[in-house]
Amino acid sequence: MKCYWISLSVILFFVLFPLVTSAHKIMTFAYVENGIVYTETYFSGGGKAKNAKVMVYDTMTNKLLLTGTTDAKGYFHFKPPAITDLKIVVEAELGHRAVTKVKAKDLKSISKEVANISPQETAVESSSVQTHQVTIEDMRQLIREEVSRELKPLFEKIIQVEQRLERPSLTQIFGGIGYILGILGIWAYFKAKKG
Amino acid sequence: MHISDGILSVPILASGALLTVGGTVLGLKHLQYEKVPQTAILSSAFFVASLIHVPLGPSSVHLILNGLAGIILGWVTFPALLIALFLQAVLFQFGGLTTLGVNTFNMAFPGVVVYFICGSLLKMRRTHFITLAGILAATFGVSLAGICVALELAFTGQGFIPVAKLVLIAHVPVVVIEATITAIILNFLYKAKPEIIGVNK
Repeated sequence: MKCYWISLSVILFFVLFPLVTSAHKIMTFAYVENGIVYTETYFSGGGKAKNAKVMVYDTMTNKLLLTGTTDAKGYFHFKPPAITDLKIVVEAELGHRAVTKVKAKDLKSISKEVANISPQETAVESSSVQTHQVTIEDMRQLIREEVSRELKPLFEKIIQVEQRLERPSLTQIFGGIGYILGILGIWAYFKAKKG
Repeated sequence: MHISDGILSVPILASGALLTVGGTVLGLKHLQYEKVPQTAILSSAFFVASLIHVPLGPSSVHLILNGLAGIILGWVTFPALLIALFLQAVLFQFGGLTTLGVNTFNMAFPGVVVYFICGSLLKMRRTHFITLAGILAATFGVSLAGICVALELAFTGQGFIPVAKLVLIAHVPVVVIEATITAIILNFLYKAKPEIIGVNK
């Protein structure tokens, strides 16, 4: 009987210990700002995945668009060479791999404005109002910078929340132990019937 | 130690799966009724040990406890770790379903090796031999698993020596912690329930 109490406490120790520590796999997150894609890669323990290999693919054709490595903070950013759906694959040492996607429409919204609207509108503005040096495009740039500065903490918060969601929950841990005991319990049941 | 989906080539995944199926069949044949509870407990311990992250050394590593499972379970290590790894893949996305075979082999096979190498030390029925068995079990279990991982990654074009070096150096703190845990648990079992480690007092 004593032995069962000890084994129970060993299991409890292993269950409760991860509450203060954490798990092991990598996660990568991407967001777009000013037409540049920023990625952040972490080990699920919260450590930064430095010097991890980053590969960017076109989701449609599966063609490798560009490669790179993360810096000491696990960051990597790049200017997408084409406006398509991107698949970002990060490979860290010891066979860890994570995938994230960036949709074409997230890239498009910004680059379209820059490419299409600016030529005509700025042309009209500059010819009619000679005295004002501030063009619509300047304002657009200013607003964009302000907005992205304001949004930055929000992005960081979202990434933190996503990170927390990726972590194993207590329910999953207990559930897993339950499954193991259950599966072997069924095995024991049939063994006992036969024996 | 968990290799993710999409890294290894199909032949390696297939051979890993085949070896694991073989080991599991053999393990289930050895799984007697009396051994079921300890299999369940060691399987659960392995399942949760991977969540214990060791924040030391150059990489991000976790406890494995395949040496402890191996020395007590022998061939039964295969089915025990297969269940735990399956649940880790499904619940935590550690490793993956396509790499389940390879990952099980990587961690269970060293356990079986440990059983045959260190098992006889337990039969010496001396505390310091049992401590030694625990230390060796943890060392062999973790480092053989690391060598298996490095061998498989070598087939993806990464050099074997640098990967093996990285894996082994990264796991030094894990070996130290596991050696302590394994030695303590084996000594405790020897005193409280010697039949679990196959010794009759």
